[in-house]
Amino acid sequence: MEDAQIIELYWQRDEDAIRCTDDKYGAFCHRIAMNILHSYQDSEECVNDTYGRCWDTMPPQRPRSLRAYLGTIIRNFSISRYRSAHAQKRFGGAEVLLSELEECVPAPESVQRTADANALGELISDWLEELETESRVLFIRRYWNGDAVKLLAEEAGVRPNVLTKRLHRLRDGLRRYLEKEGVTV
Amino acid sequence: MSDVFFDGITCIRAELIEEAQNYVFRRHSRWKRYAGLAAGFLLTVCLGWNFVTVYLGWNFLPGLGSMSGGAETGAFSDNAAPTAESPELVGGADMGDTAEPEEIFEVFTEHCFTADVLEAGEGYLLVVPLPGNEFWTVADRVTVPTDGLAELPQILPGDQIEIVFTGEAASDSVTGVIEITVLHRQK
Repeated sequence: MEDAQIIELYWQRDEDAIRCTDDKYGAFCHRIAMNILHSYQDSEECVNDTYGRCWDTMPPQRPRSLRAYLGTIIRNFSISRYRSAHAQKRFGGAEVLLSELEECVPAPESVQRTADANALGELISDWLEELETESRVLFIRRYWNGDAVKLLAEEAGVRPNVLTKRLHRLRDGLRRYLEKEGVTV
Repeated sequence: MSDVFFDGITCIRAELIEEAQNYVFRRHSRWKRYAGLAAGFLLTVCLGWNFVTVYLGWNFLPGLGSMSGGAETGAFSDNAAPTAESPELVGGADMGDTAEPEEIFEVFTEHCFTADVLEAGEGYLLVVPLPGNEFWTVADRVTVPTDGLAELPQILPGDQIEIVFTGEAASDSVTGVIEITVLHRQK
């Protein structure tokens, strides 16, 4: 079923909308949650929360890309769950992603400009659009989907250490770009 | 601070996310590298072989002289005499080499038959091939063009002649006549 038809079901308050969403994007949502939480049970709860949020927000929302919309919601739910449980040291998945993203933090002597998530998202999008397609896809698959380096390397047909170096160069490039744009966080 | 980045990345544009989900990586297969090396090696060997046979005139495989494009081991070497009935190209050009242009010429197989002349016209003879020739099993009338002949003896109906040709023998004609000799004159 096309995304537009599923969204239309939400708008008609038809409960089939959730079943169709799960059929089409259930695995995708589970994978994103698992990549962050590394816990099936917690991922399952996040996926259900995501469907509930979709039900609550459509209408009035009518997303252009249902997959990106679901992904954004489930990332938010997953990271919230991660943060709430972080003190208890329950999760390890997001630790790695967050530690890698530390490298993107610009130097403190940059021009002061507080960036909220949306503004930062726009800047990162601008930077991504300057990249060649494969690099852009690798960055998004690693840091938005949270896919493992080993999995990505296998898909791209390169060795994991080669991909690790490439991702390092990309993070370095993002840091320089944000410094040039005068962003501090 | 990296949490802010996590949230920032969460907010990247939907079209970028869609593109990433639908993208299929071009696999950097390792075999391609080896295939490239093998192709380079083969090319080097072929060019080296050509250089050795064409420029230095060395011939390691006399029987394959015409394949190597060697000037002195061309198609007329003892082992490589052409036997095909149809014309074939002989020379070094089939290897696409960059050596000095060699002579390219066609080799034709000659055939001959004897026949009685029925009619001697302007530019042609109408003959009946004698039994025993390799082309016609039954006596039939065959037109023999004489236009292209440099030398044509006087031929009259009833003469017995020998016709040499390099072209094709059809049911009622031949092409590529190169020589006609009178064997017996009509008495």
